[in-house]
Amino acid sequence: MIDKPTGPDLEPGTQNALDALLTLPEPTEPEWSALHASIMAAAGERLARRRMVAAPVRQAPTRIRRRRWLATALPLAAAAAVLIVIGRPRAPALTLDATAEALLADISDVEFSRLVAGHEDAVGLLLLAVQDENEGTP
Amino acid sequence: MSASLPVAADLDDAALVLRARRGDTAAFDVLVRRFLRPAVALAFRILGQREDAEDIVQESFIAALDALDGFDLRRPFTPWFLRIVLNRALNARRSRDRHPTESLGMEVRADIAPPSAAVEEREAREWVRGALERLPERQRTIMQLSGFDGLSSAEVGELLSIAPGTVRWELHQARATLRNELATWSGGGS
Repeated sequence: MIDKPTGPDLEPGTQNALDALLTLPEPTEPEWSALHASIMAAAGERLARRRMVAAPVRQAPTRIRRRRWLATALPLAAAAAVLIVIGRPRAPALTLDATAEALLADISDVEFSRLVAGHEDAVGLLLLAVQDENEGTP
Repeated sequence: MSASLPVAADLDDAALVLRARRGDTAAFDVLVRRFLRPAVALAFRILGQREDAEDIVQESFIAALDALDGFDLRRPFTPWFLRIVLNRALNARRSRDRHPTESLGMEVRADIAPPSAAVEEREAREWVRGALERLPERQRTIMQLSGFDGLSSAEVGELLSIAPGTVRWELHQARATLRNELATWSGGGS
């Protein structure tokens, strides 16, 4: 039940009728399976399209989501390393926390390579995003 | 990523979403299995028809798949997805209310009961259904959501984008209305 509703209790008969109205007649397992299969079939083409499209491109951030994306798409350290390579952009979205600021202060090329290893696609996209941001691309 | 990599069913929702974003069929399959029952149960509470509820849930999973890139992985998946289901169910109900057909009666469980008791129960359900439909939409929806899957008023409020206190107030009002209407119906009806 919802946490102790403040309204007057319903008559038991009313409550029972309400419960009966709101309770799903339990489908059989074959019925659940059929529904599940139907959903998966409907999703199949979309999932296939997602596999075909390079994930970083598909996830290219819209302008409105860029700030959030920049904060989550990469490990913070890798994002910070990228910023070192591209220089401090004037993009206001690229505000990092203290950990990243510390990384920005002192990092070698070797350390950069180590940080971005395995994240090349995302780093590439981040670079594009930063370019867009700096160029004011909508 | 392969479409058929095995996916541990105990992966958390965010991990499954991440994989599904890349087109991982197995991950999406686990998400569907995980949320199918609550989604159908939720849609049924709003629509009162199992077939309609199943249609809405199928649409909702596809809509969720389309919107997966916009899902914030730091937030819980359940309310995000159930809100999709709820919004679609509410839209379908509004559309149905605007264009009523002959078979608007809500499905009910086929309880086995003696004929006279069954008639009384059916009458009670019809009365409650009518009373429910006469409530203001928000009260009606809150009434339908209360008791669903142990949702708290805060969680109901999150689904409806309203404050928990408002949920409690609307629920109070709805129950009072039903109770008052009951008093005028056949000496109490139960």
